[in-house]
Amino acid sequence: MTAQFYINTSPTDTLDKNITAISPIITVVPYEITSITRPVLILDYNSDYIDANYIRITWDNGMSYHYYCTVATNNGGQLIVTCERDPLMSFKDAIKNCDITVTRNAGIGAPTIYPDSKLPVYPNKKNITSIVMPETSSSFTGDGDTCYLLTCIGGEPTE
Amino acid sequence: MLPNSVFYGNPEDWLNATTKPHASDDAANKIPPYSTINGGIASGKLSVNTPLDNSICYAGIADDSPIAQLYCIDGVDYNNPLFDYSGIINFLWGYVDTTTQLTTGRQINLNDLSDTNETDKYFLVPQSQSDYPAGNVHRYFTPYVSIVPRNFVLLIYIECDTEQFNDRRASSLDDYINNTFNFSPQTHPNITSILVAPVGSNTLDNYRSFMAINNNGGIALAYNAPYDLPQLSGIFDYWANAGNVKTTARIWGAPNIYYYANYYQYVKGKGGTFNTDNGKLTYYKPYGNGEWILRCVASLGLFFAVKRTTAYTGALDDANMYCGVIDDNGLCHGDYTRGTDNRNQPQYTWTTTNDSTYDPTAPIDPNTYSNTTAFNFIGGLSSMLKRYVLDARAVESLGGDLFKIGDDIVTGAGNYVDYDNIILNNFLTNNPINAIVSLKKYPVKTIPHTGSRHPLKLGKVQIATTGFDMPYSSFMHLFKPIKVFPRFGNSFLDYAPYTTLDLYIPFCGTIQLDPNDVMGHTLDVQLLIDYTTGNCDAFVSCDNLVIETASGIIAIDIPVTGTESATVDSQLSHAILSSKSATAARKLSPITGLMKTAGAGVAGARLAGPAGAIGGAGIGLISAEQSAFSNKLSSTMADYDLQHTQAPLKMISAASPVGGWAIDFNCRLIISYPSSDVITDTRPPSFDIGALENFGKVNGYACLQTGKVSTFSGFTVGKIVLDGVPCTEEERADITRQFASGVFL
Repeated sequence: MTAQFYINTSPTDTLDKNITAISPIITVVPYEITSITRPVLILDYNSDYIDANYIRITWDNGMSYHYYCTVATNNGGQLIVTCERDPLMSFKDAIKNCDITVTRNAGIGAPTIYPDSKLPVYPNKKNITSIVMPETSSSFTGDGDTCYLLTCIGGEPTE
Repeated sequence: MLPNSVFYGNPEDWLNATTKPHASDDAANKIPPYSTINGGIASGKLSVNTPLDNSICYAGIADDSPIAQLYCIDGVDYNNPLFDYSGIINFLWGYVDTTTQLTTGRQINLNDLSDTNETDKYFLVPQSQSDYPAGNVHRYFTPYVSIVPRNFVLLIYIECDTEQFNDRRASSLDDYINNTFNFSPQTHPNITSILVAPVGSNTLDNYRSFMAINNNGGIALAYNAPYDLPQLSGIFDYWANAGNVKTTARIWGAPNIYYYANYYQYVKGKGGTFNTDNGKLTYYKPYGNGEWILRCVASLGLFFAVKRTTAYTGALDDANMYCGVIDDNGLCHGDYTRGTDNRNQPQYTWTTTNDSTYDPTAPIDPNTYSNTTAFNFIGGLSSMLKRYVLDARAVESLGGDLFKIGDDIVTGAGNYVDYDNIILNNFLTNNPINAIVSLKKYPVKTIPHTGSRHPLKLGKVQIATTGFDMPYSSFMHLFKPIKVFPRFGNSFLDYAPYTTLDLYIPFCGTIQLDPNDVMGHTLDVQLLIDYTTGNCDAFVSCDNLVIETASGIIAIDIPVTGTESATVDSQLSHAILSSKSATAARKLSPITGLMKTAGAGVAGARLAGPAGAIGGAGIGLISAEQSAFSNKLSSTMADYDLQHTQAPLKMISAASPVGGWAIDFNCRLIISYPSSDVITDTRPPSFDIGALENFGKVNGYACLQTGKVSTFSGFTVGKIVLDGVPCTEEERADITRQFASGVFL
């Protein structure tokens, strides 16, 4: 059973986290009865590992997972590492292959046709403008140069 | 999409589209033969009533298309039991022979009992030749599949003959009719057949040439296709090859539209005259202007031409290039487009006919859809009245002429005693001014008129004032169309309720348009003016489809007669009376209410209110049963009528033509769009989301997309299906919850 300590700088809701190794791959021992999802490790004191918040553990069966971790010391001067598996990072390749129906996505890059109540616009505060559609023949006029139509009885009726 | 290789085999084995060596091995430029489809048991057999794919089922022929109205195969009753149409599918087909022409006529044995593979009945073709590989049961009748529309133009072709039927010739229809080739209706008056020949090329966008296809083509049609199949059997021109004229430039019988006409004016078709010709059934149909021929070919849903040069070298949007219109169901009704309008047809962008979405098994929407609205222009209406177009000076002189007119004609008659009778005889009224029906002023530089300026005639009397005659017609004024451009990148902000659109139309007012309907489309306004009545109607079109109408009055009425004044006085009188009656009823209403409460059951006296003044709308009866509210309302309405019945302003302002004149005479689309501090620039065509960029990084943008998680990036919210993830149930729920609230990918 081996492990490697990391510093994780990504939020927990990040699938592919940004982690930096701060230790070589070392051999570790599980502390008492442990589980694969929340293991507790015990190892000799090393000040380089105190700041670790992330650890990758490779189990004896060859499976390897990523864990959030908290490093503490006991009275004997050993390090007690409490871990909790990060399912996003641990199964990221499998997750990437899963089907998803997305309702919000940053990669789209701009508002879409779907109403977005979170978008910071003011639905009641409007701007106004206009587009003119000119009359093509320019035959309308408002000045005195207008025409009259007289309808009357008489003459030879027009068809 | 290329043809289904399961049916058509390896594209490398497909036939070239021409006899020339093909420059490209691009499968899209080759013709996968049907012989490959059914090249033996290994490739499988067709299923009855099951089309293969869109490569050969790119369109259906609707039952109202002209080609569906044709009659039967010559000499064979279409009810012949040998014709089993089961499994026949809709495609162009032709005999493919890249080496030689046929030397003898060939008849198809429709009853080939040796067809142990039962393929004969599917395609009604023989299978007795030996010059093709064994197992190729359809070696003579290879369907065109995976047609490349831009390289497959149908040329309308005819065969003609002399009066004696001793000089059979072929020519394009255009050459024949216009006598621009060697044969004409004068020398070869018999059209023996009208057909189409595909003109194609195997190189993209190159000159087309006749395809290496000679005899025995046809169109096979789906048994369950939505048309009357028996009427289409004429396309199986199985005996047409019995003659001795053969070229490499045609598909016999496919689509052999009409056959054995007697003179070019008459060709065979349903609805024509029945006749017999050497024992064969022959039908004659007037040639007319040939429009029906175009519609027949258009029913095939491909590009076609009547001129050779167009078929050979014309672009798909050439002015003489036609394209059959395929409707939303993938059916052809015989409609076609021409020239640049072809660009709007889906075939224009098809790589091959496989791109068609036609599905013969899909339910048919029975409606016919149209994206355009046609206008009918009314003209030439008869009238017993006379209309003159006058200018301002003529109107001024008209008044003076009216004063002089009576004196002139009475003095001329020299008889003052019969003054009244003379006036009545000349004007049908005792006052010459009453011969004027209306005088309207229009805000136009000219009113369409006819003839030259001449003196007016009132009644029987000619006066000095001059003007032009005007026919009783309507005239359309046009406005420059605009495209309603989305300001927010075609996002939800460009649509209702965020964006609102109002269209101001001169003389008709402002109408509200639904941005959901018109955004991104072309908006057009046409104003139809009836100069006789002074009314106008505006038609608002979205991509040539009228979606809104509005009406108004464009003319200002100029009061000129005593009758009009009397009308105004009458309206004033009625309005005053209405007001008084309504006021009285309002005061009475509490009393009548008490009466009803007491159960008197007596309606009480009814006070009849006179009709309202405005627009002829009556105020209605005011009865004792009416509530105080309604009485108050009636009273208010009557007061309103009174206040607004003022001569001559009322007459002018009924539809506010004066107001209409006060604003500019252009249409104007008023756009109201939402405001945002983070969208820094909404001016099209660029859409600068500005500070929204950061918003999107943190929140994402609303959408509805599906796919693999790997196809998305950045902050993502959605419902994930965790299939194949070997985590615990607790973790599965945790991952699902995290994606529901958002995960950075």
